[in-house]
Amino acid sequence: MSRSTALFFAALGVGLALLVALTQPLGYVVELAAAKGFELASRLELLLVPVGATAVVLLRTLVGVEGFGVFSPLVLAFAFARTGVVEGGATFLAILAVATPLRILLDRVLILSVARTGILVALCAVGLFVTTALGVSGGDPSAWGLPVVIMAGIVDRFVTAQMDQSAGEAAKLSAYTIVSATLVGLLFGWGALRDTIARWPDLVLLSLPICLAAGRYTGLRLTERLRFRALASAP
Amino acid sequence: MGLNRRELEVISPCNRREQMITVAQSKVNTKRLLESHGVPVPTTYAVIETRDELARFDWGSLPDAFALKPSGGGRGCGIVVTVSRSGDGWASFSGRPLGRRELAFHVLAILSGDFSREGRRDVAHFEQRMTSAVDITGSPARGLPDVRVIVHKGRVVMAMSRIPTIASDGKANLHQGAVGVGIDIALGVTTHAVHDGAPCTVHPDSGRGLLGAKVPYWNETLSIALRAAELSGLGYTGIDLVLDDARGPVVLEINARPGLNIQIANLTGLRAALANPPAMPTGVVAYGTH
Repeated sequence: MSRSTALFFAALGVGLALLVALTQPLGYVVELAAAKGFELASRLELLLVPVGATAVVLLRTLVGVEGFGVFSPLVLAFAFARTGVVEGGATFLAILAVATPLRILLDRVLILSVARTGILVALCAVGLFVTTALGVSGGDPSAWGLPVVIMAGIVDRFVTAQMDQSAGEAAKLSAYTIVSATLVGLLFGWGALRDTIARWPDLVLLSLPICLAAGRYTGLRLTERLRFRALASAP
Repeated sequence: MGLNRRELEVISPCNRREQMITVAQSKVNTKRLLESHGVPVPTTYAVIETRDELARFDWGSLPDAFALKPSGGGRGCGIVVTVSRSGDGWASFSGRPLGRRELAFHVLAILSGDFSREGRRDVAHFEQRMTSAVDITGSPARGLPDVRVIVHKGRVVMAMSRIPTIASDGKANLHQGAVGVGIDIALGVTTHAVHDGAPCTVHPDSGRGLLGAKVPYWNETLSIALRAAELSGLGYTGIDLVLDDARGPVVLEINARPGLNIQIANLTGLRAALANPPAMPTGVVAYGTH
């Protein structure tokens, strides 16, 4: 990108930021909804998504916490926020512990991978039904609908990674997924953040320039500093 | 150089997206292209594209040793190698029997897209099994050591050899425990080595020295890598070659997104190497890019 285009985009960004700051379009929407008497709290949940997505992006590009994609940690984080991070995390680890040997067993049987994934999702859902029905998994059980699919997917990829690459690599990817889901889940559960968003919903638009900047960052990630530490001390 | 910079400043400007997909999704076609231009690649024994072809496949036409691979796989996934006959079927390196039924199922799994990106339908192919009795330092090899050459806009910028270990179970991936050995481009001599992310000087299994060895077929290896990179149509590639006992340097794979560990094996950053490419041996000629 040439200097003049960069300047153009910078000016455009500042202009847009000023416009948003002055008009506060999302704040206006909130006022409108309040005037009509709509219940807002659950709708404001949606505005947590940009915040969570930005957090996942930053964790990947700056820190190097690169788990199974961007969606998996985000969906898990939502589940964690509703069930409680501790209960959610424990349930997830329990599922991982039960489903991983199952997946390895399924691999002994000659079936195509789609069928294997289907069986895994089914079994994870049934297992989760049992634990939530008996009240073992805490929090809101309805929060587990989509996450159970994601979890089965993570188990599937975990075992695949374990066989194709190495146990260490698979454990790393899963650990990174859990770490970012936990961090983002904690963020979602943070009352101050929810209050701030409810008060100034337009602030979530900041996620756009932040993601843009993160997407242009070419420096080393924190984990890469560790990985390439031998180079840093090289002559 | 980290992953962020590799994507934004090297891959994105050098490698056209469609071209990367073409190269990654059809190793069969890439191999045909290289072969038709005289670049040595493993001989193809058979290609199976449909279930129908699988049903009619003549298993008796296969030799004792071969590699069965998905055409669109990545990171070495879905590859089955036989080394000998065993009864009615074949046997793997570790002696595990591989019957026709098992291999047929593996072909079916490949066709169904079990090993391709996003589960896309794929093609299976049988090819010559490459062998290297010794690694580039002359020690007996366990598994198949290879040489990776990074080519950027017609110039070799960095190279290393990946030597399998007991820990890597014969595999040549560094994160699986293989040793990476950096190679001086101009001299073809090994310079540094890395194992499990830390510098080392000897092979962890044999204890034999890794540094200062003269790599066999060096000029030929570089020339072949350059030719393969040029034919791939990609501006930034990692060309994987194996120094086969019978055929010398043979191109195994072209990577559109070669990994960054090569920097540790050479104790040199890729940023510096890209900005200021090392001199190549006399006789090895860079190609021009437009």
